[in-house]
Amino acid sequence: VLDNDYKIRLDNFEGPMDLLLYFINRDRIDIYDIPISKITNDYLEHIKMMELMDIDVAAEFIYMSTVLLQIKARMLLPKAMGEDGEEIEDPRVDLVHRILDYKRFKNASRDLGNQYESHQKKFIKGMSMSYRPSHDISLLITEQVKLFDLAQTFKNILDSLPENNELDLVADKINIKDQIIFMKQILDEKGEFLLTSLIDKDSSRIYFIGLFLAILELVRENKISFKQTKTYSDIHISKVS
Amino acid sequence: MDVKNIIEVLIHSSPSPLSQKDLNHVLDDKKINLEKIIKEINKDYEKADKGLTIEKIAGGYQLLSKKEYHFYIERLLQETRKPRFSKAAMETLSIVAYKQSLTRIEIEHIRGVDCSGVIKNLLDKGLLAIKGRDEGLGRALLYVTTPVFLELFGLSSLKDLPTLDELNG
Repeated sequence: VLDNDYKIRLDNFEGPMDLLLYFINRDRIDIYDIPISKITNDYLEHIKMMELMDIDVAAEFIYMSTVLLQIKARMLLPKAMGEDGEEIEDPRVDLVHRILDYKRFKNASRDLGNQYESHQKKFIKGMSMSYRPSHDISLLITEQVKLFDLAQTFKNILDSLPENNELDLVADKINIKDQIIFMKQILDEKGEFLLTSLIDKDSSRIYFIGLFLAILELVRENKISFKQTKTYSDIHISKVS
Repeated sequence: MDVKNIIEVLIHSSPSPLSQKDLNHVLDDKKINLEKIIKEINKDYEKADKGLTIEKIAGGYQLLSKKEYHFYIERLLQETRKPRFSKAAMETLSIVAYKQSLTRIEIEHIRGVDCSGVIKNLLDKGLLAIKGRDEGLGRALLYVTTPVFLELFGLSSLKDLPTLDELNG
């Protein structure tokens, strides 16, 4: 029952959409009039074969098979009529749209790939082959994204803390209000500081978390702003004047 | 001094594509149209049949070798270690490039597969960025492409993308 070409081509398929497109191209199927019964059978057979070959069939494949079976079942029902006597739309419509949409982006990604290949043959002055894009990523980071960076920086700090810092059973004496006051004091004195300058390896996790929340609060109140020159680099915190 | 030469050396020395804004800064806001001068320089290069040309990349201008000479440059640099993109990465990139900004769920709906790993990878490489959150339920993160993407793919702006086929193609 199994076509040999299935086996050979297995690796090429990325997901259920690719598999559907493969059947469509192989059998020259008119996308607007998909023989749903045949394609469902082909699809299910293919999945069975993948299982036989011990290939982990991803949830996405199973999901698509239920979509196909559902459409197949609806196609078998006598044509339902809408309330105003109009025919209810073909159960295949959604699937057709999805396949067409996917096909468009597959083509687009091929074009984009060609564009990339062709551009990579041009070299900038003194470029080493490990291409380092010169754009400063932080330039395009929006107000909200800076928070992601901040969170990442804090995560890095927390990760770098020694293990024995994990347990901190002393009732925490640090609250966000204190941290805010603390930070405002520094800002009044210095106007600007580096986030890492507040970091002391002996401080507890709860201290950092308090610090983090305090910074978020000050940002929310628009009291401070931060700058970062590179992704994951240190963060400059300054007063909003 | 000849403004053409000034712009030529600026492009030669600039670490990132030279923009009109960069030029204005260097020339203390003397109004010099960068694009016009670039055209003249490129014409000179063409006349002299040079191996270099200036292209508009990611909103600025960059001096590039012509692609027909890549063979020699690659021999000089010996190892080719340009970033490679998987099919999954290319598909995800093109979906975001054309439809930005959009959520992971929207990307996955088109591709029909889980995209979280690919998206993370592209974020790490600086080709995608997060630009706020969706208004809808769950306030999902919205993804956009970055100037790094434009630079790596040699695009002047998103308008420079090949046109998306309408339906069949």
